[in-house]
Amino acid sequence: MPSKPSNLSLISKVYSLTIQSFQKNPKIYLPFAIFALIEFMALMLLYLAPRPPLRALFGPPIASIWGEKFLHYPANFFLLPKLAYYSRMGLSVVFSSLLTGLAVAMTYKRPLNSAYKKYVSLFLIVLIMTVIVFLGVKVITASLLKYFYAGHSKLLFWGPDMWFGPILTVLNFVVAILVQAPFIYAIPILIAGDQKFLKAIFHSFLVFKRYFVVSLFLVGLPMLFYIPVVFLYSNTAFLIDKFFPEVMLLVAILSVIVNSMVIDPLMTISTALLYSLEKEKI
Amino acid sequence: MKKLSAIILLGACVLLSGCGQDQYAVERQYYWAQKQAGVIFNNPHATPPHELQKSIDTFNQLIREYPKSNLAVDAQFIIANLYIATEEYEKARLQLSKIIKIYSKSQPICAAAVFLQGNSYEAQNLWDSALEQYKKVIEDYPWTVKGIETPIYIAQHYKVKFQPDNMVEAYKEAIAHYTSLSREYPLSPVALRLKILIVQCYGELKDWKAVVNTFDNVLAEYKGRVQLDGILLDLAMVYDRGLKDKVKAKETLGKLIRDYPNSRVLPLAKSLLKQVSVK
Repeated sequence: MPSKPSNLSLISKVYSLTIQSFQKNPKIYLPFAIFALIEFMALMLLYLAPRPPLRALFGPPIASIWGEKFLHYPANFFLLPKLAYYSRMGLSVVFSSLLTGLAVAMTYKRPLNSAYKKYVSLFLIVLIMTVIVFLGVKVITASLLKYFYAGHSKLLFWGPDMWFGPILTVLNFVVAILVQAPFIYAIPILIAGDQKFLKAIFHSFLVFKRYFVVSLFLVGLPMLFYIPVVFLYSNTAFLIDKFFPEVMLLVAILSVIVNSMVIDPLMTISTALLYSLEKEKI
Repeated sequence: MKKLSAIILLGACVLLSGCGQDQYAVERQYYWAQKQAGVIFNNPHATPPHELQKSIDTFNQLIREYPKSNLAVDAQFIIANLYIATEEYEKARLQLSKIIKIYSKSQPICAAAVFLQGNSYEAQNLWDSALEQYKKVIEDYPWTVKGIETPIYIAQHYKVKFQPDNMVEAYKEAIAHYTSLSREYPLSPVALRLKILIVQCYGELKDWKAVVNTFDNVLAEYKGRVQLDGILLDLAMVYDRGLKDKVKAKETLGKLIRDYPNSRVLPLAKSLLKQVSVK
């Protein structure tokens, strides 16, 4: 019986296969580029939301949820990162689910129809992941708010400045990794045609359990590329004051590039290839 | 075909959004003009005359391009403030006279302009001339925010300048002014605001009995009309700290807790009640 390779050698093998896949078949990159383009177009709409004629469409919800002031220059640029975040969530569920499926199908050299046919399942998988990440982040933020509003000045040696600054950012990262990692194999399992929707999720949990450390690494490592964007977003007021308000649009574009052109391809293809290695063994 | 039309419409919307000379465009131009002026406000004495002129020209251009925008009014005032900051007082007053002439139909704008004229005299250490302007604000524009705030502003000036007799006199004048104004629109929200200002004046004079009387008057007049929890809390504090009457303070806090169980000031009231009971 062959011995189980070490985590490190498995990770390096998967990444080497990932790079080879992109080199041999650059078309794999196309779904991610398409999604980046969709996200970019949505971002442009959000950037132009305070101006007519788009203001008629976006103005009322922005004013009622966040306040009328965010429809004015330069306050709109303070809201832009949040709007971009919510827009990405929605677009991921509707478009990225299918496009990720297409990329996995290309990686497995399966007909693209295999992704189109399973759009509903892909949609539901991404929807579940997105909702759990969203709720996880909300629960953490609300708990911290409740704790500090109750009059406490410190939690585990740190005050609200630290908790609502870097620590919350790290916690959000951890939530994103811990939620995405167990679900990450569900799309490759679906596209490989092995299982139905619920079984694919269940099977994904099993693969995650088997490759716990490797999975966390394959999901978490690409996310580190996002740290500079988080740093820029957390200094919004400083950037606007020192440079110009439109700098936040540039940061949002950078966020689209890093998310859709770096993190998503690396995470999706590497985990898909790890699953194919797992299958080969079986 | 429908899809193509939708895409074309969306594209047109995006293109149109970027081109319009709308409110957003005014705000953008105003933001940059303000940034430019901010440098001058931060260090007015080191500002070369051409920099001041450049900033004023930028605001004037905005006023010319968007004369009906509310930001054009702000721009007019910023020009006056730039002149005051750089000690060009005559030019500042000319600018303010221009504002009064242009916006003669708007009482709040005129009140703010006359008040700023007073500020310009004050900056020159010409208190009598400043006072003349402030009195004009009180008399000519009594129902504007500036008109209501100015009597207390005058009294506070005397307080800062350590002129206790003038200060007492000014507070008494303010009380008389607010009392007479509040009689014009009894039981209105503005009358309530005026009564609170009367309380503030009595508080400055440390006339705690008059404060309590005014508060009692408000509580009786406005019962059932507005939320009075904040007033009960203030009254309890006056009993506790001003009159040193713990029994009345406790009574008032008890009433607050009983009558307003969902009040936002409840935690504060409870903690004050605890403190009063311990003492």
